[in-house]
Amino acid sequence: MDLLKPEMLGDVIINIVNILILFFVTKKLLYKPVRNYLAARREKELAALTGAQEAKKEAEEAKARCDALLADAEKEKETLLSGAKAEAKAAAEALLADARTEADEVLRKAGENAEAEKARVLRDADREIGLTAVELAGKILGREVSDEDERRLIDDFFKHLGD
Amino acid sequence: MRSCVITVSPAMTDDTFAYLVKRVHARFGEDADCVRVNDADVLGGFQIEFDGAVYDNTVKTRLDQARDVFSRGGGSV
Amino acid sequence: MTEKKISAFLKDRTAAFTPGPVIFRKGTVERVGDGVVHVKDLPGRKYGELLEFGSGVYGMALELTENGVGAVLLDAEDSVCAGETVKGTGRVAEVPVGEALLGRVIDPIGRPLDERELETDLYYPVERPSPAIMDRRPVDTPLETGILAIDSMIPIGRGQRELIIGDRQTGKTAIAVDAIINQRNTGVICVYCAVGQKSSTVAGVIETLRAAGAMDNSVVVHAGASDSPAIQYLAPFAACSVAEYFAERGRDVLVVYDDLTKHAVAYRTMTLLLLRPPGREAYPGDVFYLHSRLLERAACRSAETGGGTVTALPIIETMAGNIASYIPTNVISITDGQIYLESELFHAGIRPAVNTGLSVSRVGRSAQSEAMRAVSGTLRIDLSQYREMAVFTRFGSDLDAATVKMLRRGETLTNLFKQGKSHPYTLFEEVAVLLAYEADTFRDVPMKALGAKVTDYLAHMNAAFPAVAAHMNATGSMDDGTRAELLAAAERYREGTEL
Repeated sequence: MDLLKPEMLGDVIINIVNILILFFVTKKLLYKPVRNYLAARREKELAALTGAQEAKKEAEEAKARCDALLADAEKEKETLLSGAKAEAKAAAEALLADARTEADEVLRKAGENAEAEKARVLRDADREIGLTAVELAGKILGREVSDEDERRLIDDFFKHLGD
Repeated sequence: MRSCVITVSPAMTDDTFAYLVKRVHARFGEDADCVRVNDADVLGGFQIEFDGAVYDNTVKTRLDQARDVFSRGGGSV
Repeated sequence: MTEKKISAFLKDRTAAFTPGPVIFRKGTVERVGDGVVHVKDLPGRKYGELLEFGSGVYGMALELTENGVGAVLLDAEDSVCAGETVKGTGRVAEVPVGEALLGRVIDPIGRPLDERELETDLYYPVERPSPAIMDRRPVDTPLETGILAIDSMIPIGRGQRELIIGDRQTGKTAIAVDAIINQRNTGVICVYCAVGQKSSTVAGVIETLRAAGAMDNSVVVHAGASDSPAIQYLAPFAACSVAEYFAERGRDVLVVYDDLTKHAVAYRTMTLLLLRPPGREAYPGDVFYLHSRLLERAACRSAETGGGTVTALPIIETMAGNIASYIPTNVISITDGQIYLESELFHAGIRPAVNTGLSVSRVGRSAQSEAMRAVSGTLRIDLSQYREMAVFTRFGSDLDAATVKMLRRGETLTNLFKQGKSHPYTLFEEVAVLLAYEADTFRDVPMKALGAKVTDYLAHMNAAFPAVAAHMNATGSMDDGTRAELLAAAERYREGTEL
């Protein structure tokens, strides 16, 4: 109860006022800035966290897009490959068909040529036989044109002229 | 007189030739001056050349015709 | 089997053989040189008579003198010597004719050049009189060449003579060959006469015809540059005789003479060697008659004289575009029109290089099918206006919208007339293209892409209207309803909608 004595009460009151002044000064000069600083730091951290989360989300989205693109590319590659294979197969078949047609044509022409050659050989043989027959007749006639034949030739000739 | 050259085989007798000349005179006139030319290639028959025309009735020509018949190809000549 | 064949051959030939005397008039070779033989004393000699020399060489009597004959040899002169006997055969130069000639290549006296025998018994003289006036009828049936520029603006009728004239390498032979190719399924027989051409060139033409399937109804008469002038002189007449055989039996025939300039030169060579007096440009005085008597044989015959037609496409080569020189003016005055090809157009990429201003068909629209007549009315005027206006645009003046449109349409039309070689259009395709022009179908298409666009357009139209195409190609007719339908289809094609 010493504190309640009038000489002590003044000290107490001065101390209390000191404390209050200190409190308010500290609050004003220290507490608020520190609180503001802490609040700013928290906000900064929050922002960084949000930023990181968003970046992560964007990265995940980008990754998803890349995956999708890769999947598309893979699909396109398959399509192109199968298309190219089909085209190559068709081209190969067309080439084969052309080659077959050409081969048939060559065979047909060869057949025709062979027939034509055979016909030509037969014609030449015919001709040779005919000419040989004529030559033989010439040799025979060279020795055997009689007087009677000569007179017959003369009469036939003038008859031909219209006498 | 107009020249008439008759080409015959050497084997043709004179009688036959005289007969031929008689027919020539009957056909072409008495002024045809017939001259005999012997040519073994004709084989038989005769060829008369008279007034720019040739009357070929030789066996050789008939054999040539036969040869042409057997060796005939395309073309008009 | 072979023995039977041989025996049959011998019997056949023996049965056909009737020997007899040979009577001929005789002359003697006085001198020979440069393909000309002077013969002495050939009594009864006739102009144009075939003379037989030793070793089977023949000549033609073209110069009758008091004492003898000047004859041109049809073959090599090496085997003819002075003093040799010459026989007058009493007949003129003849050419074999008949169905057996289809698909064949022969020379003007009928000797086959394609290494196969020619079996025919009928011969026509190479010189024959042309049909008289009363033996003809008017030209009223079109001969489609498949070339749009020609069929639309310079139509050719069956029985007409249409000259193809231009400098060297302007596409004259290409037009003629395309016209032949376009006849392959029409029943028209074609005769291609090559005079003085290189053998390699003619071989190329034959191969083109064969590849296009047009050789089966064609005959090629070839007198090459290395043949004697007499053979080159006979070639067009022989080709015409071959054609007349078919025309007298009711068939339609197309004859191409490629070319009459070389024919005139061969005739000049021959007559100068025969010492005939030279006239203008050293040609003989009867060089007009040379071509007039040939081209007058192309006619549309009346029913009494067979009912067939001979259409002639003579070709003349000019020098430096000069169509006013001697031989070109001669032939222009004989024919029923000309197709004039210009080097400038050719080098500018306009092929066929037809100058529509100077080209004309005197038979005109009566030789056009009904379908073509309906769509080709304003083409000449449009092109003429375009050409006039195109000159002014060079001065860079400001143009109104109508003029700009006219220029654009003119340019489009000029490019629509461009056509590939050996790719003739059917009548339906020609009408479709002209209807597309009318509907301005290609107005947004750049000129460089026009060709491919037209090809695509025609493929669409052929696929969309097969029955209409078949009917039009067969009959040449097109009613108003069909016209409207095709025009609407052309407009829808422009809009990119389904036909």
